[in-house]
Amino acid sequence: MSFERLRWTTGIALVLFALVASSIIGFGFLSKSEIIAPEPTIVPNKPLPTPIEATPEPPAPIEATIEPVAPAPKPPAPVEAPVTAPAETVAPASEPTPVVVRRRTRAS
Amino acid sequence: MRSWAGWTLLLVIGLLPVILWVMFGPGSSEFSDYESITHSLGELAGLVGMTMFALAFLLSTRATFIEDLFGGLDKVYVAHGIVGGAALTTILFHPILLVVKFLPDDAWTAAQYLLPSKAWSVNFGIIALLGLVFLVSLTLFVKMKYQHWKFTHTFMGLVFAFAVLHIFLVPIDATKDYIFHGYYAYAIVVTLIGFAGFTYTLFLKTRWFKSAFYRVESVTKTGADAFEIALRPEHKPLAYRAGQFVFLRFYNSRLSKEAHPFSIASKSNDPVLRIAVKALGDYTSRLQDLRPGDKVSVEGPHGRFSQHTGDRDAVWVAGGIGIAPFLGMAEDLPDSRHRTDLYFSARRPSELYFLDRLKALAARVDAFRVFPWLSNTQGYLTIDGIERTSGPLIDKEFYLCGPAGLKRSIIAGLLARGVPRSRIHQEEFTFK
Repeated sequence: MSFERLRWTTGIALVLFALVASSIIGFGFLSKSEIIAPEPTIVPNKPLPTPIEATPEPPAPIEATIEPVAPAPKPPAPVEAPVTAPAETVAPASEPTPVVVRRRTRAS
Repeated sequence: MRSWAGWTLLLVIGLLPVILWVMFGPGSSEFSDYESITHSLGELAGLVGMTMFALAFLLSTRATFIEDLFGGLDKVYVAHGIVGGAALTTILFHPILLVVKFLPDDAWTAAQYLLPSKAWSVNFGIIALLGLVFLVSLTLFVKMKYQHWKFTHTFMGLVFAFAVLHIFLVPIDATKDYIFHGYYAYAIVVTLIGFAGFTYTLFLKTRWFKSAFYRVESVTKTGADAFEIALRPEHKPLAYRAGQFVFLRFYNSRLSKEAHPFSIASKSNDPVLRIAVKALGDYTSRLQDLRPGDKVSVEGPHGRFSQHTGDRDAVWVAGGIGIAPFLGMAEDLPDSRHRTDLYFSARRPSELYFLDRLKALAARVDAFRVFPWLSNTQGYLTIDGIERTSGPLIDKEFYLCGPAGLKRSIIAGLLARGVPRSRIHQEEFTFK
């Protein structure tokens, strides 16, 4: 191998190494800065956007399903009440109603 | 051209961590999925890279047994450059492969592994990697004076020290990984090889290596920008073959103290050592200011360029100051039945250095012919031109020394004509 060829081969190896090594280092710094990037956006007293969106949504479907079902079993209660209540207040039909009929005498 | 013994040994040692990992490592479970595959490959890249880093130090020691394995010190330095470049490239893959498992989901963790952190064992690795990138880039892409480059290159030892801290501490401190049984023994061996090579090259070689001392006898101008320096030994002269080279350190206030390589231009074992120099830069230009009597230490000889000469017909191709090793080799040529044709290429007549001397030699030795070639007027020297003059090339031996472009085109032409590589010999001209 001549000196000239040695120069070329080693030169190419050095250039390739410089390119690859600087790419790895550059890419490494870039990925590191991407990992750290969210930190400055967390401002004190400002809630993160994700928890706010996550919490209110799940209860909504639960409420929606309960609402139409809840009133259904209630109607029987008012139905029984009118049946029993008159029985207590209205006298049986067989018993003579103690109606006191007072004839008004004419006062003469 | 190249001795494969040295390269085979380098390959085996370089891949030794992979073999150890397969034999004594965690086994096939570490290749079961994407994460484990990339992680295991990352670990192996680090281990292989570190081993080659240590081997690069060993190759820079100029040890004779290493020179024998590679067929010349110039080839060893070529191997040093290639192994160093391969070490850096492999080490670059290490962190990347280790962190890709975090991608794309956890890019921040991946990035943290590539950046300094509280884990010092990892930080040592990052420092070593950046240091290696910086120093290799200086070597390959920045033009600077040889002595300045050499000074910056000595910091490779510090970079290696950080890498050693990383390989020892990271499995305990950071990764808590089980790599393979005997990992620390292996890490100790790698560390010792690296530090031994570095310490010897930087501190011990100049003290232990037997340098011969010479004195400058004369400096003779041989052209517009070239000159010849003749050196005479102070005591026992150096034994060498024509075509080899030496490292010279001149003790002169106008010159820096680093040793520089120069081809020997005198015939084998000539007591007067001659070198041919072209004023190419600051240092070589200042060599013209050397004065007779200046002290010089000579380290060597090195190189195996001329070891096969004389066995068959030969073609020598020189470009510019690349003529230097051929000057002595031509003086060594016996008047034998084997013919030697020298093609000497230069841009203009003033750059055909030492041509008169070569012509005088050709007149004395029947089997030696010289063909000057001026590229400005005749075009580049081609293999067709050589074949037209010297005849069929297939059975000849070829020796090349000169600019890289000239050598490349001639070698390509020879290989295309079926000349075996083993018969093509070249001197690597540059060392950095």
